[in-house]
Amino acid sequence: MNGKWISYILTLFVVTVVAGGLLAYQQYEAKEQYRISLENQYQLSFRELVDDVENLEVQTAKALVSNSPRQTMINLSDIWRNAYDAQANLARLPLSHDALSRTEKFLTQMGDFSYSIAKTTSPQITLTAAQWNTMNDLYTQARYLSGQLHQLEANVDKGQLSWTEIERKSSNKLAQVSGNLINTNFRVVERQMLRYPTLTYDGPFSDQLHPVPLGLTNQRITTQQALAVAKEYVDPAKPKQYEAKKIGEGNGQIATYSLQVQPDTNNAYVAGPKDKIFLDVSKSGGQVVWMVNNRNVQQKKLTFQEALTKAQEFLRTRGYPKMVLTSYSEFQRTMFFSFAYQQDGVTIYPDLVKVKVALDNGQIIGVEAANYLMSHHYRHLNQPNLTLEEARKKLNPRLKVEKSKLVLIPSEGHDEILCYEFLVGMNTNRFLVYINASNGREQNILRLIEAKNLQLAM
Amino acid sequence: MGKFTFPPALYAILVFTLLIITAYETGGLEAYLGNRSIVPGDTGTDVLEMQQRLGQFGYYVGTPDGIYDQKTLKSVKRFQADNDLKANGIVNQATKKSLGIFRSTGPLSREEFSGGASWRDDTNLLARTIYAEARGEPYLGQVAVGAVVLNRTRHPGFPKTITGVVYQPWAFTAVHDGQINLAPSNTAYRAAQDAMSGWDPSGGAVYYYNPRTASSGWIFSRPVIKRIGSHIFAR
Repeated sequence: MNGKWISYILTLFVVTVVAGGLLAYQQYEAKEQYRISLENQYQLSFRELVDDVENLEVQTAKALVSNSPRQTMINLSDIWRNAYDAQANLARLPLSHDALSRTEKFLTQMGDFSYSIAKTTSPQITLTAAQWNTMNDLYTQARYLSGQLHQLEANVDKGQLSWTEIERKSSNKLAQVSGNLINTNFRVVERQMLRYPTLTYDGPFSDQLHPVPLGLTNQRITTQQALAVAKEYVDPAKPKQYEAKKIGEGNGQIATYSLQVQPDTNNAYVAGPKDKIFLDVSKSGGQVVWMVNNRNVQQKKLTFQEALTKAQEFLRTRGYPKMVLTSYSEFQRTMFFSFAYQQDGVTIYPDLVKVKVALDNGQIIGVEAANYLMSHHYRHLNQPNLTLEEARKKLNPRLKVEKSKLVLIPSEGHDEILCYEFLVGMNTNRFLVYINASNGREQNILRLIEAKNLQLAM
Repeated sequence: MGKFTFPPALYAILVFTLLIITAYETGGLEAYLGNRSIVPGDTGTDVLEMQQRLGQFGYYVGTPDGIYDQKTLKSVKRFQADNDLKANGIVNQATKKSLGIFRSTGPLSREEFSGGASWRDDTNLLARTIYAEARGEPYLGQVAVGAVVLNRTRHPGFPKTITGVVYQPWAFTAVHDGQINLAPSNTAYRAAQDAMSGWDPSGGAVYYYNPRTASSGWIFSRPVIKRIGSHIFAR
């Protein structure tokens, strides 16, 4: 009997071991398959990166050599495309951010710089002396980067380096990806790239000087004053029924006090909801930068027009009297309105304020004025060189113009351009076309996205 | 003594082995959890999973034991209250979804969202990122995390699209460990919408970290803008 027992157990043991072994092998195979697929993905990104950067070097060299406007334009757009491709591929590699942020920045700016020249230069001229010099600096950097990447590629080809190896070593400690050869290589590149000078030009990714808020006075306010500002802002009719406290401070582009305002719960006469309202108030000038009231919005009762009236009334009583509606969208029983400042009848698009209206009772449950406070100031608007009629003639003749007005739009960089804005229709879509009021160039085209309670320009 | 008795222990081991193999073959534990609503007094693997999830999100501090007791009930109610769910302790499909017990079921319905497809897709992905990275944070902290993603797309040192930023290797822990695939809560969608519409409680930050768990020394060298909840926002 005992012997039988032992044979049972032995059989079961063998079966378990074999089953376990099979399972383990299956798992191992599956894992290996995943690892190889992943490695291949990384290889693809890496080798495309190497190609992109090599092309970048060649195209930059050509742009430096060329004396033909046509050829220069083609080179510039090739540089732009390859630089952005390279940056996208670089960002797909499993490397820690601090090992490549400068390199990513170089690629972004190289593309952005080329694109900005291509956009602003007239097709009749080649690079200016300053542009040529900057391009020459960029060429030096591109050549260096290309050389380093080729070396790395050679090492990868020798089979010494594997991308998934980085992944494995760092999988437990995110971002502690040190001691690895690939990372070390990229860190060396990064250090060299840091030695090159920063780049300023007229484009969105240019190294600008730190912008200062133009819409704020220099007058510093205390925490106590900020608390008063917040209560007044939430409810000018009865600020005493609220209590406010400071919950922090912010050190962003606009230095702020972070505050929380709530109906005074100790006061038995205060009716209504006790929602917490959060506001950031600027330390200079004491303006509300944004407000958030994250309450649940109940059943929808207001119409679009009623909500709009509430938003406009709010702006008027909070020190924003001259605002015009620019876009709106409805989301979860809340209306988002965007308004722009108006000066001398010209819509100033950089000075935007956004207002959220709860569609259950019309309460304002959010305000965003950071953009406005950063850019708002009195502008000396030049008289347009073109009349409205002259500007209209610059439009594609196939378009049907519905509306037109004078506007100030932000450029790619940090300038502002006076334009005629034409609301036009083509097929079933509507667009906003911007014609430069001083030289008649078509500055920009935005497509309107329209639906019930929705109008956004993209 | 009977001459041929199979001891029950052997049965148990055999059945268990088979079960494990089946679980692996069918793609994990999900198939194994029932579709019932979990109520106080229930026991089982689904309760265990629920306790583990609550623990991950900082709501349950005990050892998960698969028993829905008073302590678990308290955590469930707190979790439900924080996530715009009825705080009644009944873990129905909606609560399970918020806990991430099921995989996401897909994008928002048409009524919730209309208009530009890319805008909708971006808001969707942003909501997922916010939910995965910061669902335990106060609402402002959630909007701020969304704003950081958007600020990165406008910064030369980062990819130019929301997708590129979110899926950049090593950029976000919750993408790395797969939490990005959880279905976001209503709150996360609202935070995403606010961030997409321009609200930025982070004050222009491109980094954030939890000082208690951050592992990279480098991140501490970034100039701090402010603190919201347990995250420090930096530029």
